Amino acid sequence: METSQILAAMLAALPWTIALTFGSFIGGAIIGIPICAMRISKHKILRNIAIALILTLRSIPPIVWLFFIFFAFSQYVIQLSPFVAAIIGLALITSANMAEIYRGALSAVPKGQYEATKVLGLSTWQKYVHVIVPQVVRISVPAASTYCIGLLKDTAIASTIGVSELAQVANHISQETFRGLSVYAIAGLLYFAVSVVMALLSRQLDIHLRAKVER
Amino acid sequence: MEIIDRWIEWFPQLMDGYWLSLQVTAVSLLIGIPPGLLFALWVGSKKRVNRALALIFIEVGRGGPVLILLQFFYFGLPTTGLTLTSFTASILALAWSTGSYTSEIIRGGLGAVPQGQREAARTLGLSSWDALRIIILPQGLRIALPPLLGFSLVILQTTSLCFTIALPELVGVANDIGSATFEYMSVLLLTGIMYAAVCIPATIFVGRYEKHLSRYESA
Amino acid sequence: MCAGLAARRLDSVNKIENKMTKVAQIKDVGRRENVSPILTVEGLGKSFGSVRVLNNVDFSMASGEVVAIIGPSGSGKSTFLRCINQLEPPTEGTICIGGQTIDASKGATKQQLAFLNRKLGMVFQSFNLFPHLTVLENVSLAQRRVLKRSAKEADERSMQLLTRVGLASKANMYPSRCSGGQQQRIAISRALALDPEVMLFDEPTSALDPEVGLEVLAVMRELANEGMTMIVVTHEMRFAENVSDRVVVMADGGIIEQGRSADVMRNPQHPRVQQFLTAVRDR
Repeated sequence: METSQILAAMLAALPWTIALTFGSFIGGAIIGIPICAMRISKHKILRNIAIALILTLRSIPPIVWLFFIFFAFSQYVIQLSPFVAAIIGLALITSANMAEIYRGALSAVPKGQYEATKVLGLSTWQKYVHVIVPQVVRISVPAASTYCIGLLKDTAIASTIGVSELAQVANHISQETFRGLSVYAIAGLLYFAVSVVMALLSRQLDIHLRAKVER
Repeated sequence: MEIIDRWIEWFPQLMDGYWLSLQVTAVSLLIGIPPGLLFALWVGSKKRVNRALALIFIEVGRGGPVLILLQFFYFGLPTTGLTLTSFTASILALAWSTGSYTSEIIRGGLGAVPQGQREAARTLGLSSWDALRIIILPQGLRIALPPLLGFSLVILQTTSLCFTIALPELVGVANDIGSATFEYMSVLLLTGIMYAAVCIPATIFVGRYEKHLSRYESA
Repeated sequence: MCAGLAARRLDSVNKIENKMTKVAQIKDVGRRENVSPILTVEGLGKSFGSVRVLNNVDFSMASGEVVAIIGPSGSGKSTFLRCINQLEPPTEGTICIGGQTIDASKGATKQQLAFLNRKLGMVFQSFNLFPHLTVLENVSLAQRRVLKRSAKEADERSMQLLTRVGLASKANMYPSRCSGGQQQRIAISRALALDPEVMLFDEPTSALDPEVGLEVLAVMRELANEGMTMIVVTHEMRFAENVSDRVVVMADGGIIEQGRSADVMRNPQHPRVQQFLTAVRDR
């Protein structure tokens, strides 16, 4: 196989990798919200459930979760495509991490903000939607984007349950062509390139959000 | 409880695999953290060579997925004539990854040491080496310890990827049992519990230790 | 070369009686040619990027003198002090000390830096004691590593100094167990342990409660009475008036007035200084 063919095949797999990354990230970012809400709730039971959930999700290797969801669903619920199973698994793990990121960001919101909303007579809903959440979002951006870039690399795990993303294709080609050295090097470079682009984009986002807030 | 009987049946095999996972973790950390410290120092070095080497090491080690690094060492290198056992390849890949990530952690720890400490060391006339060795490193490493411990747990979980390069660690054994008996659910459940049994208490311990450390910060 | 520069600088220096030694020959007003100053600064300038913090500062002092530097925040007092021992390398100017000249354009050599650190001791506003070493270890460390004294020698000297400031009992404790005033006295001992010729103090009491600050000022007064050459950047006006020989007032990166402490503090000439002192006194 020519190097250009190898590169073409890997670039063709790249959209899957990116889809996995963003699908899991968005899913996890959304699911993370109620988990975080439970984590900081005044009700001890809810809090403990959230703590246990977060701890469990983060204490078991992602690959075990992926296998579990893929095989467990297939046996007991419905046959899932590897792609969907991978997104569900990665989204769940992401949700645990995002819940912690949100929690950190919440504690970084100055107490004075809460007091101001109280004094202005805003309802709880208004307080969160108009004042607190926008600030949490802004503060979370650096940690969340760092996590997302990590997630990009974690999607390689999906290759083990058969998703045709970049790592899987690289493995395939290396076995077919015996050019493992260059194949894996190219794959590594592609991941690196995408993560650099993501890092640049997130910096732009961060600057844009800060410009609104800082003088 | 049929499932418990199955678990008891599988446990010895799984434990062998787990033991291997723990060994790979320990060796990777031992080999990986010293370069992590070295490159943490070299990143800020005045010598261009040191800086360049540090950046290359760090970016290769964490620029791509660990899976790619693992497969590179096990499937990629043989094309040049150099064949490694799955154990060796696992350790090389994980140690490199460890070195890269821990160099960032250590750099953060060193940077968190107040600048006044460096100034005091300077005005007292301590050499750069003495200042680093006696003043900065002890304080910086102490700060970096909780994240380093946390990272060790991540490496333990990462060993689960090594089954793709034929290492018979825990997940690899679980997969074998699963494909032989088709009782994937049960064996994976036990596997998950085994990981959680180490990682959950360890995470709680590191969390408590971190709080204990920051309680000492007075001045 | 240094002596020549210095002679022009020391026009209005006066010495209080109890500091004898070489300085006894200094006259009230007018030129002096026979005593060479211990430190001379000429044309010192410092910029941080585009911000000019020090502008063309000239300064000199004789051995045994105690100089207090006062002035509003942002005047460049601390920066000036930190330029003297090269904690901040100056952008322009020359510093002359003990026969060594350091030109800002060339920077200080490694040997010159080592020389400086031995001649000059520094006490910081935030003490900067080493938290992971005991008090005794804090004071002995540099003696052993820099002066190459034996452990026994160093510890003996450390205990001597700690006893003098009344903190011998704290020797084996960690700094975090000591109060702010105690920590600063330990920091002073740590600097003195290296037998410096000049002691630099960067707002030594600013981080302390007023009452606690008194303990530290007492130690500094004692040091002054024993003839130590000192430069003290401070907001403590009483100290400036009563303990120092000369007061230098800085504002906007330059020296706007200097002279005998009693003269400057009670009878300032410059309007800015009058303003500053009134504001400080009226609090």
